[in-house]
Amino acid sequence: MRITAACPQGLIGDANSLAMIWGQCPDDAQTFRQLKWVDGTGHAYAVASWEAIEDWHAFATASATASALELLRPQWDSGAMIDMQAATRAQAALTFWEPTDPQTPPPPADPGKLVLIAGLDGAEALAGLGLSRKSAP
Amino acid sequence: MKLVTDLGLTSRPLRTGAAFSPVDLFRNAENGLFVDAAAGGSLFSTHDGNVPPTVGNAVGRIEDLSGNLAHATQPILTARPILARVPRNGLRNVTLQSENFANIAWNKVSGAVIVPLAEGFRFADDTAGTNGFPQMVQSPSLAAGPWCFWVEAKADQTPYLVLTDQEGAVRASVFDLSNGSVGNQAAGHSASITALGAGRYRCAISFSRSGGAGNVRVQLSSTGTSNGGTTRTGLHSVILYRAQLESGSAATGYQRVGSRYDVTETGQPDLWHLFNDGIDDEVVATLPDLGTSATVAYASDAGVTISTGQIIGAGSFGILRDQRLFALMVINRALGPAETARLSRFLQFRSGGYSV
Repeated sequence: MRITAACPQGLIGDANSLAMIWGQCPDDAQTFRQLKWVDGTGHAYAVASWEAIEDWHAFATASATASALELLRPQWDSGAMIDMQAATRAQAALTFWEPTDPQTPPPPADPGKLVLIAGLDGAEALAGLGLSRKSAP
Repeated sequence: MKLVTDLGLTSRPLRTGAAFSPVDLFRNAENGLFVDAAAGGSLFSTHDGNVPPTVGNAVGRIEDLSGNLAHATQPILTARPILARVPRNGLRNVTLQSENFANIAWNKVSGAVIVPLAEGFRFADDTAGTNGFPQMVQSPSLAAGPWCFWVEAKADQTPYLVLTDQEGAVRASVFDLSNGSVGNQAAGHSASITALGAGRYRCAISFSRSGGAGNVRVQLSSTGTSNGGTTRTGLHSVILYRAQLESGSAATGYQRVGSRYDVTETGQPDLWHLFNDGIDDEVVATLPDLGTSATVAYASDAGVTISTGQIIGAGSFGILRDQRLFALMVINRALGPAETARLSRFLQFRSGGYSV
């Protein structure tokens, strides 16, 4: 299942800590990089899109509810590089959407939330989030 | 100068002979790189690992086949392209999953219960006891024009199968799998049923779309009516085998869709490629200064492109192009006409009849 995540500027540090838990190495701290996308009111976002395994779906679904799963430090992070508190903050800010029937539209990108869209391809997810590519300065 | 070769289904090239490979262009120790998604042994799941990806997996490392060791890597998990394949004759079946009806690509609503069988899946209602008609839904984006949606099915506890399409109002046609007849053809549908033997039928609807949002559904009916509303008892079911949704008004040969990255067709070779999500994917090689007469050539879903006279300085070079990249070569010199022709044929062979 493809996941597309819109991360507002203020959550990039926390969201990258969470992404390191999803990921495999310290480089995953660069998951949310450039603020290339903007919403209708001018807020900037970094967007990542990837194909997630089924376990990830369970994690995201639970994280978006009161029954959030406890985050565990991945084995590769023996040096405790990941800021687990920051990752937990990102998890608490997570909003997860997937297609249902009757279909409700995806939520728009939110300057205070890490919004994740599942089940749509990248371009469809961006449209649902209401994001467009930031024009060059 | 930029040469672009359009690849239509009618312009499929002859097979490139084994005598030529882009690797041959580097015989004088030229600098550059050559990557080929069909060269399975050169792809790896992680940027520093040695595990080859299977179809649908992310690709973190693509080894340079030119001998220059300009391997392309992506350490960030979410920014890796996906290893994918499509049949040589192009992608037709746009379902997200064509025969695993238990997969979440088929959204189950109104009490739909799917039970895998040795062959096919039992599509039944639940025992919730409320009114409704179990459905499985897919909502792919469809361009304006004619479309055909077909499902192979067999009667089980009940004989009725309903196929719907929706773009605004729902249009539903009913098929009777006990006698191979169309029970009800919706306005706007052309419905047909074809016997395949052993009680199995291909039920098809063709319809026109204007390019808006919508869906197609496979639905049960206990009464033979398109709304099928009845008390759900768990005793209404049909057997489903496979489904196809394709452009045009007629059913064509089946393409198996294991996922959006894994489409195959019997008798058609696979076209392996890297699927780029267009948002954050990239795979980067480090190149030396290739001067001002470099050639960049690649095969993608936009066709074959050969660009000459390219200025490529030392540094990072992203290899992904368009949505699907089949192969890419960069070399620090111009190519002669014979080399260009051979390279073009090679790249056309790599991208086959695939067209956007």
